[in-house]
Amino acid sequence: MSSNQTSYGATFKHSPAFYILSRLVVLFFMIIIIFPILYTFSMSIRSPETVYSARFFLIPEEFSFQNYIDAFEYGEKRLKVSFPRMFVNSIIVTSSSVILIITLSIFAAFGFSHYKFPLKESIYNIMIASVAMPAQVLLIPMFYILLYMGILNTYQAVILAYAGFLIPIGILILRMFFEQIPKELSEAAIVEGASDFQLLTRVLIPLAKPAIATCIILLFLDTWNEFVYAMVFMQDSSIHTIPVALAKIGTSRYQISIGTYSAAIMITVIPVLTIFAIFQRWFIAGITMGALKH
Amino acid sequence: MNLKYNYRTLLYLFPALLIFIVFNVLPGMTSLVLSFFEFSGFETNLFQKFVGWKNFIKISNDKYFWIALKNTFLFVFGAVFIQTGIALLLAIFIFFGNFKYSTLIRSIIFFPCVLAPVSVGLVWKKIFEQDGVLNTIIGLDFSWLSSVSLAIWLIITVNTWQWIGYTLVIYYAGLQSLNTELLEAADIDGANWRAKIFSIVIPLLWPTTILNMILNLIGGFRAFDIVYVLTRGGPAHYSEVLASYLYYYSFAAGGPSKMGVGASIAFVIFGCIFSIAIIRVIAMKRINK
Amino acid sequence: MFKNITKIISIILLSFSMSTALKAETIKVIDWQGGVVGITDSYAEFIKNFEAANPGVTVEYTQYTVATYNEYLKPALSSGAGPDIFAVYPGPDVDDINNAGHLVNLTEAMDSEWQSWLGESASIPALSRNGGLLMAPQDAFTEELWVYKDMIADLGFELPAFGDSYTVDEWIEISAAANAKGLDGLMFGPVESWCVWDGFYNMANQLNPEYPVDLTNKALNGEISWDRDMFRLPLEAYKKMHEAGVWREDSLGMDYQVQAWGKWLDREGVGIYCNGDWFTASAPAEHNTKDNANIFMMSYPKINGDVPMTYNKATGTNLGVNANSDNKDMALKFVRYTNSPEASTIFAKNGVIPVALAAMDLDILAASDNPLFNDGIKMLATEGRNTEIYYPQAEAQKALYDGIMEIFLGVASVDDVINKMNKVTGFDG
Repeated sequence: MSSNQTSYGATFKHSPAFYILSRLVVLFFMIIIIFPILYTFSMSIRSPETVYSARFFLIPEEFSFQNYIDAFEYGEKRLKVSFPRMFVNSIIVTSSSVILIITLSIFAAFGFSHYKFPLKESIYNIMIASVAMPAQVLLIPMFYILLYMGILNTYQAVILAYAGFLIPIGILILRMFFEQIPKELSEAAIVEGASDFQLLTRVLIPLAKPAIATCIILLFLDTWNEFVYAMVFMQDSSIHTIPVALAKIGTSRYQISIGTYSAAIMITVIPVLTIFAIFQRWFIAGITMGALKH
Repeated sequence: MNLKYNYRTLLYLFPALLIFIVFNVLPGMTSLVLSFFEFSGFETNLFQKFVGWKNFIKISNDKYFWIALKNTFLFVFGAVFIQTGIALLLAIFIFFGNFKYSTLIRSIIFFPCVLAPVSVGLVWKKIFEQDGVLNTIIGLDFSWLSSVSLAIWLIITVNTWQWIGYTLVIYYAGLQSLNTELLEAADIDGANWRAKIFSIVIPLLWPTTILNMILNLIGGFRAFDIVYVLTRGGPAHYSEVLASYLYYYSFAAGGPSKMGVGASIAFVIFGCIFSIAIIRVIAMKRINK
Repeated sequence: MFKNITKIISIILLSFSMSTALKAETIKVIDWQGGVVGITDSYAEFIKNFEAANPGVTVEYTQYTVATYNEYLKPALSSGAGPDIFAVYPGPDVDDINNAGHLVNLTEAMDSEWQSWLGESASIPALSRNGGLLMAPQDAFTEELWVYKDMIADLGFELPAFGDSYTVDEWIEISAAANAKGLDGLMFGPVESWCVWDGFYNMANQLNPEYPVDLTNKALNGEISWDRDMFRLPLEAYKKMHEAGVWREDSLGMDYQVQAWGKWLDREGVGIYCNGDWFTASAPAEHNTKDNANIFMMSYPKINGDVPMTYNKATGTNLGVNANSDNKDMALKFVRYTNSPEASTIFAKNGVIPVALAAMDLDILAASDNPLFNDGIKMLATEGRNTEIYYPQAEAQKALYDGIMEIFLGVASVDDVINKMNKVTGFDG
């Protein structure tokens, strides 16, 4: 990572104007991004009595972890599910979806980017257009289908539903990156007698690592936070995912203080950050190897 | 590459297309057909009351539909141009700016993407309250989210805030795949940073920019959660977008309960994207000539 | 045709199927009272008792929130996989669900004992169609405004007598005084449409010259014109109160059950609008004890000092039994149980006013140490006009809500809304 950076950084390092400008802009946006998050965190560690008073909005008058305890209790009593359980559910759903979608997308994108077949662009256009349909529109027909397949109230229901609208996105991203790979490399591989499967696995996938990593991140996001299908297709509270639980907490008639709700948000977010931090290194290693290839 | 297809190609395409058809096209087409029927959502036979174009006529006479349409275009404009633009700016600054903690910075900017939309909405709702943080800092007593004209822009702001990291990450991947030769050549020629950015980097990033614009376009049309949580489409439907107005017609408690009309709004969304996709194809054909 | 296609596909993809083991007999019950403490706790006890009395039967009770309920219920009912017992939003949904054939006619299914428990509530018009009761009411309540007694006293005002309420002008006065102290007059959550409708219907009913003939219903049907004082004055009252700042500007973007109620709990305002006895169990504990009964309930604002006392008395959750259920008999048994004296006592214990008051031992009710609960019962027994709040005309009500909101926003005038209502309801001449 850093080796890549310095080679570019070097060309810009001698420009003080760029240096200052970049710092200012990045700092500005960082503040805007961080402030609401710190605000939420600050609310979560305030004592329930002083939840509305703070210095400069951020520094609590009284520190306390009561909100976190309340949030856990609320989850147990009112939602009949524990936060750890919800995490496990979210992880199962998200990782299965991502694996399924990325695999199928890679193969399909390979087909779209390297082959010519009838109706190719029409199918592609329909794919793109179909992704724009909001989830609620498909709710009832999807329910019917999942019901007849007998998989309602299971993880498979949501995984397949996500696959339905995320595979086009995967194909969209990967096709674009595959097409950016110089033709000569593919042609060279074929001349050397590689089968198309080998072309895909030995040449294209290694080169497209940044794209694949990006795709994984995006798929993760779209499945992790998805709420409508998760709520309707998996009503059994033991397989609730996190967004469903948070929505229930945030919109229920029970009076829940903003402090407790902030704590609930923090509880769901901190482990994600940890996972992220761990995976970051893994991703960056993969990306660097791919990028340095040429 | 345009190789001739063989049976293996079909094998590669088949699983993805199958799932796509069963879990996307099939329900999608059902919904589109539904727009010609009247359906409250409770009947066991979706297609029992055919009403022809009535639903479409209804929405064309509904002033809130046009408001939702306008808001959707504003929202998409915000997502496609403002969000993409700012992300591009940030990506270039971070990538070329030799920041010591660039990974940390990117992670922080990316962090809001991981938050559930409900959470984001509630936090920002608190900030925009009449006695909330924003008013206190600026020193006003304005009710931001009840403003007929400003509500949608606030929603756009919050949406950009949340998703800018998403676009940034894609741009960063694009930057990392950049061919460095041109930049090194420019170095030898003694070009300054402005020239390098505008004449080389941005044009080279064009495919990534297109990708981001498409993704943000799609996201913009689909956006529902953030509108719903921030304003429920209010006040009085003045900040509705097509997706939220569709929801209002289909599912809202105390709403009209007419899923056929909701489906016709979905038809409009589909039509918009499809037209844009076709325009893209025509544009690509022209460019390739 | 559609069903056949999905059947074929499901056969092809049978490898994905996984069967969920079902107990001997499972009754699924759902409602939209997610988070209403009194109801949740009552049902927990109901289920325990019912399962003990009926071995081999399991009752699964799931609560949704108001906003998300239909997202679950519509697909479930439409696809035939609906729950055995489900609550129905009163209003237009009743007709939609009934016309789709999902509701059991409870009048026919009721035995005389069940009927005796419910008394008059066995034939509530809003819950019945063609002489048959379609949903079993559970809890009764009055929809009203709650105010903090100490705040009113602090501002230098006196409470009205029990059963009476402030006039519109009095509320404006109170709010002015409250604003001076940095408080709101009323916490109002108009994002939830019933908060807007129900106050309007109450005010209109105050002025109804032909009570008990339901002129509002006629107007919603387009049978009479909207251009009359009975409707004009309430619209003007709403406009006056909004412009006088009785509720904060932000209210236009606030929902009732989380934000308005939450802020009232935080004592940011003197009163909460469109609240009801359903929250007696969720009332702030420190203001609702025998020693400190600090909350006063009153009906909606009176248009002027001369109108008759008008209340909004209604039922809250109303359970329908799925006509296509496999466990209809057991489901009916459960619903019957919820109206029984035993269940009513449990409701009362948890601060919920049971609708089956006729079955209750009133001594038990009187022994409650929840002041608001006692007041709620008193209010239900107070004589006065009663207002219908659950009308079936979806389009007209939507137009009414949009119209009133536009008056608040200053985008439409009272005359505009009256003309629009006449147009939407199809009143001609």
